[in-house]
Amino acid sequence: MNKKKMILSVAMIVLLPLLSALMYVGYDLYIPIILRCTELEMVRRIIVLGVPAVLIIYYGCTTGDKITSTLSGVFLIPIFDIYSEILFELLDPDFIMANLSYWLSWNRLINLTPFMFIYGLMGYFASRRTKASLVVAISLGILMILLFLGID
Amino acid sequence: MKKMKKEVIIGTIFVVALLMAMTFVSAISATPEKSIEQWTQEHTVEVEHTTIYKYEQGYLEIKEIYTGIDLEKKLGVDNLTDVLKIPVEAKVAEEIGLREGEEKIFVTEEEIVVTREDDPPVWWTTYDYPQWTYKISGVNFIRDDPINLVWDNTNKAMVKSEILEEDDWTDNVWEEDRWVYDPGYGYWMLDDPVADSTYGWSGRYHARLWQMSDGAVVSNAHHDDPFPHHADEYEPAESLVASFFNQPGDTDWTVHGNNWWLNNRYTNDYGAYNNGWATRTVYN
Repeated sequence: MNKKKMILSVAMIVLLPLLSALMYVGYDLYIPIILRCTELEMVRRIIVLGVPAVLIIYYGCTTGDKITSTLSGVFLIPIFDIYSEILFELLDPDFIMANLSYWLSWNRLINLTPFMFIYGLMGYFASRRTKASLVVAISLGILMILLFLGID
Repeated sequence: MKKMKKEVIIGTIFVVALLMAMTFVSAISATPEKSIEQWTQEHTVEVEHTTIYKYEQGYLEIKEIYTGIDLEKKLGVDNLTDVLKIPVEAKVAEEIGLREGEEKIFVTEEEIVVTREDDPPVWWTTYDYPQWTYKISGVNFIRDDPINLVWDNTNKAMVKSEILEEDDWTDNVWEEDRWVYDPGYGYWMLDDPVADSTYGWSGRYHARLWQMSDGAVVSNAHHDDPFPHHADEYEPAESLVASFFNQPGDTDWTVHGNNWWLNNRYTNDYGAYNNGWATRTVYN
């Protein structure tokens, strides 16, 4: 693997969740309260989860790099979780960081597994570069967004 | 000297008369504040709730329309409509039973309490704490979950810290905003959530907290079912959160279970029941 490809792979896995976390935390802290409503919250969720999904699918389709696109899907939400927690801790004076037992708890792992699985599959199918697999990847991405839209 | 004394007496009588007149005028011209019961009656509308799912040109449109004569009478509008449009692949749409150009309509009769930003519920005329949380849809505030926990002699940061000492509980929660009106601040306040799961894939306990201007902290605690996430329990969630403040050896808090009547007995569409009594916890 050449150096440029290596950097791109690491960026996909490590920096993509940061992009989502910045958008997610930015909305929470900097969108004026007066503008907030259910509809805007839905738009936020579509952007926060849709942008990385599109980028993973695009990366998988153009490079065919199965490992990176699958891993960037698998680790998107767990790393996003860590980044958003750190950003809230740094920027929101009211925020209280979860204790160590939260990060290591079974409950957390069980809750993250479906997201890791679906986003991982999305990355994998995108990298197979066939029409049918692309349709599956896009469907999985949309399924994820629909699931997140339901969180109340 | 005598004349001066007389002028002082007349002057005093004049000032007293003026003050009495001012008091009398303001007393008779002041509008008595309406009770929360009267306010609720005025804002309760019987509506026909129509939900339309339509799939067209790659988009799933979810339209929710509330219509009814009450809406026109009480809010001066024909209907309340919310539209959400999501890009969806045809295959996914078919999986949820919708083909291109097809629509599914669901109609239910409902009673909702709805208001606007400048016409908040006047709970403080009767109760010490707010009774309900509200969600925003467009410009309307629609009554949602009941308040079932209150804290006194403390603040939101302390309450949150105590809850977050529990395993699994986190301050980083995906949720939809809810609002409570505070007469002291004079505006609607956004909630601060905690839950035992950020996303709640397999269901979760979830508490929304508000710091009121008079020092009280209030909360709605509920349990969400797994996706699609609806509150399916109020009382067990209230007991669970209250138990965090009532642990053996912890003398910082005194918990009074189901102790404060907030008159918000309620069962939601998914079977979650609230008995109308809030658990009140005091920091010693």
